[in-house]
Amino acid sequence: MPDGALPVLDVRDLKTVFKTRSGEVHAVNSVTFDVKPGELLGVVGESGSGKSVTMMSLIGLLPSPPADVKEGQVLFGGQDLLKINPNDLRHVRGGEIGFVFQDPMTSLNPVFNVGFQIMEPLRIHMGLNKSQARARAVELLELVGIPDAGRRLKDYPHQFSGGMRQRVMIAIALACDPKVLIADEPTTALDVTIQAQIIELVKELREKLGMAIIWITHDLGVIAGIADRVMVMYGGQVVEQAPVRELFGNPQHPYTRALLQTIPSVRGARAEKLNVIEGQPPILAGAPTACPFRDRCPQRFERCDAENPVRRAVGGAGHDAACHYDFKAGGPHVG
Amino acid sequence: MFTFTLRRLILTIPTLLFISFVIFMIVKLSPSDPTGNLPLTIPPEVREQIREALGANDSLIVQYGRWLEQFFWIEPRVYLERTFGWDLGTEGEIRLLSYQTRSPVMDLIMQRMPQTLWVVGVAYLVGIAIALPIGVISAYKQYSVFDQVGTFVSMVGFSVPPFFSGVVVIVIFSVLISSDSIFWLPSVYDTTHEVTDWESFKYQFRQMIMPVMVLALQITAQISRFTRASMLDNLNQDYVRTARAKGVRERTVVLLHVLRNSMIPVVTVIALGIPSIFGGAIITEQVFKVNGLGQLLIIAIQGGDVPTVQTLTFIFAILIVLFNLIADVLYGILDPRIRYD
Repeated sequence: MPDGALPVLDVRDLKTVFKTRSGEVHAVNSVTFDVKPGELLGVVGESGSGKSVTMMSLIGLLPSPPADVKEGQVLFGGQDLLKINPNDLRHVRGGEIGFVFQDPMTSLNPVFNVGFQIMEPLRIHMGLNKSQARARAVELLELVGIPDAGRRLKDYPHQFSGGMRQRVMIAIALACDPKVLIADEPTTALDVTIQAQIIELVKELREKLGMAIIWITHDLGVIAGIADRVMVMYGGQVVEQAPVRELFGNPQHPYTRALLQTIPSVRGARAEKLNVIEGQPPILAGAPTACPFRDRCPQRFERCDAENPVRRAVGGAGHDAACHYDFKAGGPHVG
Repeated sequence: MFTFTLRRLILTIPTLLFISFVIFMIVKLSPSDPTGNLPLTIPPEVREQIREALGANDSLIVQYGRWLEQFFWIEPRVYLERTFGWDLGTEGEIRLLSYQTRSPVMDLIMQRMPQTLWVVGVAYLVGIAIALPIGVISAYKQYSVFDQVGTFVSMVGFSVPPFFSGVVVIVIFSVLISSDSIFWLPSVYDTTHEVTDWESFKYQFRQMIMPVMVLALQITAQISRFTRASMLDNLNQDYVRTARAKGVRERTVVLLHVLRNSMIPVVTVIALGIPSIFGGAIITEQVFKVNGLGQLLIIAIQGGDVPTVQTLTFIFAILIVLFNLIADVLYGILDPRIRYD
């Protein structure tokens, strides 16, 4: 893909807040990122880092209340998805942005056959009639590698295995030829061999169909294998963002560094103990005034308590990190 | 599904026979005397002769056997003859007779059935029709004002017994409101009233309002709570998020995706409640003087009328067993994950 291409999805300063009894929880704080056409953006971070909430905020999938997308812009196809009317947003959702969720066992409606569930977006967004939608649904099931597609349309989700169900979910998400596919931990609930199959399938589909993909995961191994660019999230913020080789080769945020150290090596001597990141993820009450990672950070110094770092360009092209510490200079950033 | 239903139907036969025997023993072993309601001037020897004539002095097993023959062999043939005009040779056979009235029990039941079906049946339908939307909206707008009001009304419906709510509505609509107002309602249900024209239909409608209201309150309370709980279980499911992510209209998400799943337990509860239409309105029928099946049962119990009590209770038992089966079959139809074959 050309480097200078306009992003298909451009998110700026997104803020999402959950209103709870004990006050506001700032789940997404000034998240800015973009995805270029055909690009595969990996989003990594531990549980509760705001990966899924960010993606669901984009297309209004969070229940409100308690969630409230307070600020920001989500530019997609020349319009701001946070401002357009709900009906137009509904057509973007499922029509131009497809979503695949984590758990295929529960993500399909148990009382409708998969044919109905695949045909639903086709009829809503593309206005196909029943027989056209059916033909397209067969095509889609074949595309995602389900054998005997025509007959399986009548089957119910419980008649499919986990991996097959995730294929059905992917078929649903791709039904209307979306420009962006958001995959929210699509392989987490599957066993390893099925994971590999699904990853291969997505790679293949991306080549065939050319849509951009946002792949949310906490599995760095998966990301290394498929992503073009990686965005690391922590405490509701994007802490580092870089092309995949750059990120793995030259991490510039202490969290990313720590994260990479937690991956056990299969080569060399067997590790006595697995590496962990000490401490707990932050509680996101109140707007951040300091670095969210400071309590667990080996590089912490005064400025980290006083000021929440913003992302600054570091290292190679397209690489930025939100840290006051400059690893190259071995000391605090100047300015 | 068909073989499952057939197998279950066959299994109901021993079940029902056992139930009928238990009912018979309970009724028979309870201290009651078929002549107990007769005037005190009747001397004991005459009473003994009456008991003898009723067959109440025969051994229990003979009495039970006679009831079985009458209920399962004679009565069905009598009704077949009446319906189709056949001759099955029931002439001269002794039908299942009530101790109190000496008229056939089945005829008594057939006379009472319409009143009960009208009042209790309509109340059931009205109750469900009100309960389902309330349940759905309460769940969708959980903790809203609507939900709070719904919760309160349900609690009232659950906790206020019909002999109280019945009297309250009588006081309001029959006593406090003067009888020339259009809001006045008759407190006594006139069973002999016949609907022949618009005026008589209006009267029938008016006299049904209060008993139906009292019964529907209870039914609504139960079913709306149940629907609400079932909806809430489903609203947070992952497949609902999937439906939204597909861009399905919110109304379709709730009324198709969520409701279809939520209805599975609700429909079975509704089916299981249907037998109570026939037997459950005993108190309400008393309050409004509806002479339906409930009232027949009470009078029969008071008079020690074993055949009537036994037959009515057994019919309720049949209905319960039957609707249990229907609920199971419905479950299998509504939920594709359940297959009986």
